[in-house]
Amino acid sequence: MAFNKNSTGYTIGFAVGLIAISGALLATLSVSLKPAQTSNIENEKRSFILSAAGEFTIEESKKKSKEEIAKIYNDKIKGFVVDAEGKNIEGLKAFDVDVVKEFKTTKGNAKARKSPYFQYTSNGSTKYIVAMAGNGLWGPVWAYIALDEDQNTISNVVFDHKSETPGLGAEITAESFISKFTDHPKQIVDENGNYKSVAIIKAGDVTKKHEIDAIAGATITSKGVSNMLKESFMPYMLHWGKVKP
Amino acid sequence: MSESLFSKKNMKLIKDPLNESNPVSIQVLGICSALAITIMLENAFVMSASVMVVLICSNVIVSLIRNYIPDRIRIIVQLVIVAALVITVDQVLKAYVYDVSKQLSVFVGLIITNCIIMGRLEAFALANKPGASFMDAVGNGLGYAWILLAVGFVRELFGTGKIWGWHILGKKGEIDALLEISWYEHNGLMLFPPMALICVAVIIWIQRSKNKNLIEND
Repeated sequence: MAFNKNSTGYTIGFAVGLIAISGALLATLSVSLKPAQTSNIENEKRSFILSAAGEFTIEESKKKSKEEIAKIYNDKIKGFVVDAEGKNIEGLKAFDVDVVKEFKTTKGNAKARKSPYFQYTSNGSTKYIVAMAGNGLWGPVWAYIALDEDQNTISNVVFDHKSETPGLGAEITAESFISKFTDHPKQIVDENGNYKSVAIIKAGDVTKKHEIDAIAGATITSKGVSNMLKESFMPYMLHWGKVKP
Repeated sequence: MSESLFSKKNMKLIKDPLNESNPVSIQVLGICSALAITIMLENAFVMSASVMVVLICSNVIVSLIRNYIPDRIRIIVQLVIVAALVITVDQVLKAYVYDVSKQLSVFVGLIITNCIIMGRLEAFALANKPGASFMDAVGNGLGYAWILLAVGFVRELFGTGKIWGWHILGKKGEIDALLEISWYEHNGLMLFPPMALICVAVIIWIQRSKNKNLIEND
């Protein structure tokens, strides 16, 4: 070889060159794919909110184009944001509030948390979809929970997670878990106006209004979802005057 | 290149890793991912495909620049190349097959820690021409894939009664499945990571009892 590839100068030069080239390539890639990725994430969020409201199932939403979903969303959904005491926050788009980010940045300071909810109106009936986030086993879990017109009875739920174990914690997105919320009526506030929410417990009684059976083998995910449900309904219930502050 | 890509020597590079020098069952590399993403066949498939893409690209790239890589920093150079490819795969999946990328979640990022890739770069690509390196990567990728798919098949079938998300086995009267058996219960143990090791161990056992050359003599 004509050059000494093990000289210090060449080694440093090679390292710098390699980093520059791969850095430039990755930056270009990231910038050029960003719009597609963002639109995927936004589209998913709209689908989740609409399928929680019962407009379509998540399976059906996959057959619809992004434009179609955005149109239905704009026609039927109105967003609101409330603070921890249930007061309206003006000038903030509910769609832009990322509940997972909110949950992370306000850890230990729940008073500062902003909670978005979405009002769905279709054919004269109204549903309220509340958004929330919590901790799973490996990463965040989040949910869109639709309440009936009484702002208390759960009508449908959509769960999602970042990295729960397939077959175990990831089962929170499965029909078998979701149906536990919808087969028997679940309520957040009891008859006497006490805040109860819904607890996920081992061997829970599915027929009770504030109880859900946990997923076997996914104890920590179940607990995380349970904690999320316990904490997150409060601002909304205060906002709607369902519980006294 | 004087030698044809499909010469006998090159074909051996593909065939050997499938059996006699299989990266998972013989060299016992890449075990972590065999454990993590074999609960469902579909995940195992996408993971195998992603590993194969990264392995082939990195093997060829490293082989192309093998004469220019300074010896002292060769490992970190390999690492940068693999990392860049893994990020590329991750970003492309997120942009074009969002659902699949959600399913694989963190495991795509973990391809970089898959010892098979670094192992092949170090053992093969640094010393061989791009054509041979390509074949070597295909062989090892397939060798990794078939073990993953075999384990994924067994675990998904007996753990959840499904194959590729379709219900195959089920308790009679409980769920609509292809094969309904009255006494059948899902084996929850199949879904736990230790079962993946047991499955891999069974493959190793079968392989060595068939081919006595693979048994080490003490």
